[in-house]
This record gives sequence, C-alpha cells and structure tokens, in this order.
Amino acid sequence: MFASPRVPITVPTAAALGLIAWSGLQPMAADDLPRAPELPDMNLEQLMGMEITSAGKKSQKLSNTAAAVYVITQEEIRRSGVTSIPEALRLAPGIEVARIDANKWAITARGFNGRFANKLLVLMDGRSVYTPTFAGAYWDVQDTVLDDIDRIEVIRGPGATVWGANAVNGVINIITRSADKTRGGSIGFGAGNQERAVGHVRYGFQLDGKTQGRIYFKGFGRERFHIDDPADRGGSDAWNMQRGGFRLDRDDKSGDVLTLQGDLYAGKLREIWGLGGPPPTPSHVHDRPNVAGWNLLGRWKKALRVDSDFTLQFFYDHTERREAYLDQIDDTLDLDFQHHFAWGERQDFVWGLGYRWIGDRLNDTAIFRWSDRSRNLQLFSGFLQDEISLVPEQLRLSLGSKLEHNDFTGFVVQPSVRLSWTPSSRHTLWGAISRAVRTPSRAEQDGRFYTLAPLPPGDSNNPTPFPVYFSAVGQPGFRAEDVVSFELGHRFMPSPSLSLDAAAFYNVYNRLRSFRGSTPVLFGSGYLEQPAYFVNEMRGNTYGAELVVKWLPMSWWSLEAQYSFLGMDLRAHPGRFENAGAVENVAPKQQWSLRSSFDLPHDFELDLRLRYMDRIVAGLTLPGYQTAIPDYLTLDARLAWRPRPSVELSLVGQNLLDNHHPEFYQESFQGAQSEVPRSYYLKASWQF
Amino acid sequence: MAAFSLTITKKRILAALGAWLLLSGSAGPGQPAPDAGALQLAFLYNFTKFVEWPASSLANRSEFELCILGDDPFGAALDALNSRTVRDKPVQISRPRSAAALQRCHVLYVSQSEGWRLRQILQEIGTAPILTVSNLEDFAELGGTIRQFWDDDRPRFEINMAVAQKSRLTLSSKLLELAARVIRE
Repeated sequence: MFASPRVPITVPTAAALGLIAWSGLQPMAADDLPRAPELPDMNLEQLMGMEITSAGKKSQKLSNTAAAVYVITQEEIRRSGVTSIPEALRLAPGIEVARIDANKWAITARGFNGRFANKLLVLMDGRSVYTPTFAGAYWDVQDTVLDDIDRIEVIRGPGATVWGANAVNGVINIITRSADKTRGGSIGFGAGNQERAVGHVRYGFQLDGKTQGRIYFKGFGRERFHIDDPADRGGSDAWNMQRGGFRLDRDDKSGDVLTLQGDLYAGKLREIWGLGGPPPTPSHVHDRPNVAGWNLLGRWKKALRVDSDFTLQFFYDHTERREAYLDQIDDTLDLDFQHHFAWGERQDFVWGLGYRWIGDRLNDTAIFRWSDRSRNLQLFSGFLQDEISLVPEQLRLSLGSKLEHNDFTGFVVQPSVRLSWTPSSRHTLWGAISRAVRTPSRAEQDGRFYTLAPLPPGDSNNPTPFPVYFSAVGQPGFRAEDVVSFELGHRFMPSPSLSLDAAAFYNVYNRLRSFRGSTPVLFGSGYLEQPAYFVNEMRGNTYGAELVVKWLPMSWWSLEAQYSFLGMDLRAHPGRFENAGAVENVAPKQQWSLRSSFDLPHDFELDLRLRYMDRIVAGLTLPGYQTAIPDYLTLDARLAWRPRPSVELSLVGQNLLDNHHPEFYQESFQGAQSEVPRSYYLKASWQF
Repeated sequence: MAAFSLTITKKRILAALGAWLLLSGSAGPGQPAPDAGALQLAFLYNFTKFVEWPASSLANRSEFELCILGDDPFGAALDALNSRTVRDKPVQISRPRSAAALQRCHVLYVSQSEGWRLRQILQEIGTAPILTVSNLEDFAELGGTIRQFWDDDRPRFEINMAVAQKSRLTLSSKLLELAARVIRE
C-alpha cells in the first residue's frame, strides 16, 4: 500500500516532496476548483429538487478531536456480517483482534496482546468491564443485540486523563442506541456451519410522551473450531450463551435525560486447558465452565444553562466464572459525576469525581493460590480538563489531568496536553503528549500460580534428576506500569467523498511487567518448584502509525482501506526469564484491510473485506514457550437482499481464503491449538 | 538484525510520509457528490434570502452571524459560506458557548446532538430576532422557526409562523409557499 521499501527515498527527497505538497496546499481554496454551480448558489426550488441517497446521508463530520479516534458505525457493523463485538472491533484500524479459540479473543491496540491483555479500557454504555484478576476484560461475555449498537468509538493511545487508569493503549467505548431509536419489534435468526444458531428478539415501546423503553433477548450456540489436540481428539471449544436486558430513556427535551438499563446473562463454554501444576493435577483438562453475570446502570444528564451541564452515573456489575484453574466472582459498584461548563468565550472546563468499589472472591485451586482470596478494592478519582480555544475555530489546546488513588499503588497522576489545528474545514492536524498507568492486577500482587508446562528430568534446560514446575509469584510491591505517549495526527477531507486519517505515535514505557527467577525449592514428593517473581523491570518504547482512507467513488459504492504499522523496542534485565523479545514478537508488525460495499439494484447489498495480519510468535512471553503463528490473508463476504425495507436476508462467508488458520496462542493455560475455520451462515431479520 | 529492520522501517516511514504529504496536497476534489450536510447548509443559507430581520438587529453590526450549536453535519461545506454575504454583511460562522453569545446570532442552527436541551435553548432565545433552524423532530412544534427534514430522499421544510412573528422576523410569502407545512398558532 505504501511505496515499497526498495524505492530509494531519502530524507531530502521526502522533505522536498513534503514541501511541494504543503506549498500546494494553501492556495487550494474552493474557488480554484472547477465545479458546477455550488449548492449555496442554487435557489430553493432547485435545492428541493435534489435527491440524497442513503449513502449521502451518512454523516461525514471531519472531527477535530486531538486523538486517534475511529468510529465503527451501526451501518458498518451490519454490513460486515460480524456476529460478536470482538469481531466487530476488527473494523477499526490499529486494533489487533486475534481469536484464540471459538470463545476466546486476544485484543489490544499498539502492542502487548494476550488473552489477559491489560492495556485497553473497555466500556459498555459507560460501564467499565474491567476485572482486577488480570486488569483487563473478558471478551466472551461482552455482548448485546448488535442491531442495537449505535456505534463503537475506538480511541488508540492513552485516554487516562478522562477515563482513568488502564486506558494505557486505548479505549473501546461501545454505545447502544437510546430507546427512542429502537421503536417497535425486531427479530433476527441466523444459522450456519459455525453459528449453529444465533437469534434475537427486541421490542421497543413508549411508556409516556417522554419515556421510551426496550427489552431484548439474545441467544447463540457456536460450533467448535478446528482443533489440533495433542493429547486426545475429544476437545471442544463450542459455546452457548443467553442474555436479556432492558433500557429506559426519559428525555423531556428541557435538558433532563434519565437512562436506566440492565442486562442478565448466562453461558456455558467448552475449553481445553493445559495446566502446569505438580501431580496429582492433571495436565490436560477438558472443561465445561459456566459464566454468568448481571448489571444495572443509571444515568442522569442535566443541562444547567446553555453552557453548563452535568452527568451523574452509577452502575453495579456482578460477574462470575468457574473455570478448571480458577473460580472468580467480581462485584463492582461505580459512582461517577462530571460537570462541564464554559468559562468566558474561550474556555471549556470539564471536571469530575469518581468512586469505585470492587469486591472479588477467588479460590485456591491446584493451579492458583492467593495470599488474599477476597479483597475490597477502592478507587477514588478526580479530573479536570480545560479546552482553550486559542484561535476560534482553528487552534484548540486541551490541558488536563486525572488524579486517582487506588489500593494497589496509592496516588497516580495522569496528565495530558493536546493541541489541534484546523486551518480549514478540510484539514485537522493534532498532537498530544499524555501519560497513563496500568494498575497492578490481583495476580501480580497476591497470586501464585503454575503457568508453564514442566521441564522433565533430562531436558536440556533441566540438569536435575527431578521434574521442574514453574510458578509465577505476585508481590505486594508490584507497581503500576507507566506510559508517556507522543502522538501526531492528520485528518484530511479533500472532498465530501474522500477522507484520509493518519496517526503516528511514539510511546515510552516504564516499569513494564517482567519476571525474575529465584532459588528452586525441592518438594518431598520429588519435584522442584522454580518461582518467577512478577517485577517491573522491563522498559522500552514502541512506535507506529495507522492510516485510514475512505472513498465513495459512486453513490452506491464505498471503499475503505486501513493500514497499521507497529514497532517495539523493549529491554528487560537479562536472565532465564528475560521476556522483552518475546513480548515484541507477539505484536504483528503490519496489518491492513480493504473493504468494499456495493448497493446493488433490486435492493441487494454486497460487502467484501480483505484483511491481512502479519506473523507473530504467541504463547507465554518467555523464550522456549512460544508458538509461531504465520501471517494470514483472509476474506469475508456478505450478500444481502431487502425485499421490503423491514425484511433482510443475508448470506455471510467468513475466513474464506483457507480451510482454517491459527491466530493466536494463549499466554497461559492453553491445552491445544485451535484454528479459525472457514464459515458460512444465513440470516433473516424482520422489523415490525 | 535489529539495525537492518530499523533502516527498512525508517525508509518505509519516510516513503509513507512523502506519499501522504503528496496525496494530501494534490488530491483535489473532482465533482463533489452532494451530501446531506452540504445540502442542509445550502438550505440554511438560502433561507436568509427570504427573511427580513428587524433593523435594530443588523444595525451596528459589521457581520452577519451564523451560529451553530452542537455537532453539525456541514463539514467542509462551511468553507463556501465564508466568502459570502447576507444583507450586504459578510457571513461569520460562530459557535456560541454562552447565553450572551447566543443573543448575538442572526441565524442559529441547532444540531441533533442538542435535542435533549432544545426547550432550554429556545427559552434562552425567547423572542430575540434569531432565525432558528434545525433537523430535530418536533422542532417547529416546540418553538423553533424552521425545521428542515427529509421526505424519503427529498429535502423539505416546515415553518412555525407564530414564532417568527413573535421574534419580529418577516418571512416572505414565497418561503411560506414552498414550505411543506406552516404552523400559524
């Protein structure tokens, strides 16, 4: 997509090209361009005679946000044919989505991927789905009726000044439609070779003139992937889940909006575990765990004046998982207050206060032991951000910081400076410097677990006559990981039908997680245990760029190309457990995708998406415990027909270019390589 | 190995940067397909030709102030308005951030994002001579002057004449003829 590296392009050439380009940029005012009578020159009758197709109605707002933001719209989700939120995230640039098996994903932005990835903050309608066990999100239980999602805002880069700790490499904000946008009924059902059955029923209703509501139910059963189980043939990663929920919105249009929503879900997963505990712990387990949870969220948004409003929000979230290696129960209570007001003609302030309590219950198993099986974690936070309009409509500066106190590491300051320059409505240039931290997880501070396959006696790395079992040991002194990120971006819209968005970053990380081995202990039953302590002794930097080009060549045809590049340069202290190189290898250097959407005659739609992911080496981030995952190129396709506006039939094919391919290998506890197979499904949906 | 991959990377980055700059400088628009935002803005501008403001509202003002509240759909189309005039005054586009700034507007476009506080905004404006325009449903019923909307794919508009009169705005009979609906009280 870019010029090939063999093109002898040098610094001076590039600079010259740049100069030519920029000098050509300034005079490109609207008058220089040949065009038909401009719209404002037409009279009202002419204007009223114009017709706008649905493609033209898509909002093409050129955002002047000083951050790498991408919005996945409802339309894009629908036309992509994806059936889950994690799969929908593949639509965003710079987000690495890797499917570990049928029910597990590894998702991150800008590096450090893993099943237990810990550098993304994920919110569903303002509810953080963070679990302190590993300081990340369980993707298998994050779901809703996809048709009811309004958009998914994907922010690459730190978002901690506003969102708080753990928004280190990005924020995923899944936003469902308000109830007044989902009136009436909707039924959808699909089935195929991997989607054994997926269906939903939703009904939206009006309670009174100001209050709307909806209720929904969704369920699915998914088939196992292609599994290469070394121990036996019986393993499966099939799964099913059922969930229901509601949302009520009251909007009196006088500056008072009340929202109350909740969900309840339960599911059964099948999993293949590879466990590294000493006997009698089995090393290969076929598990059928249950997962369940519920949540309730209330929000009150009130306008005080034209230039001032506040939001008050609470949520409660309960989740439980019972897996062979660990039972986890988390309860989260969160209160959040935000006040926005304009100060003078030039400044906009937002400040907020937050309180979060997480109570968890973990159990001791043959794999995990905890110094504290249950902890009450409290988080206090406050933030202030000032957006200053230095030159009205052109130059905006945003300064702010979050101050948090958490029970793991005490006080944390997470400031940011962002500047955006919009010389014309076609261009926005922005830059940002921001800091974010990732608070320690329970495993890193209080846990002790067997994580690797043991080394048998006689192995080249094991000079002893005993088998060696490895345990990862958390320490109360494990500190927060830290990033300072430098970002630059350019959004450019040469015409309403073409837009380009580029972002580049340079991140400096400190106190990243690494391991330090200590003296092995001989146990009476005849094995050695080699502990490896969680320490903060890795540092380094990452750099990269993401690029998006959207083009509407015809009113019935849209194209989108995305490319992202990522480089990592990490250093840990040398030793048996040195993991810097292994962490680097988990990150794909390049990924790209090409999307084409056609609105065909007779109410047909055709969508094609080609996507490429570079090779990685996954598995536990220690040398010798990694699995090479080759690069892959694959194709998704969707053909849909709307015989009536309320009825849609679609045929979707996913991962069409090979029979099956691996995308990841989990960093701990994975028992067999599971590969993503080619899949098809047929879906019908009806609105009434 | 590391050094090698770094050189490749640098070259790539530079190549990409060059290509990007070249593209952003030269990729001129062909014939821009009309999009909804540009069309809505054209309506907004056209309405001003059929409205008379009270003399007091335009006197002592060097510019005609076109205000936008919230996340507007206009995009780059706004550029075209910068070089134009209304009632012989150059158009100034502004985004009012206070009640006082609101009072200086001649035209106020209320974006979809402000629907939840619409009554409050209209209350703030009161009977000031401001032509309010929006795409919000119920806009005209709730006390806005002109609501622009889509009838299938065709642009239409409706007028609240009572509000216009209270605001001392004179709307031409031609505008009323073209309106899909006129609310008179």
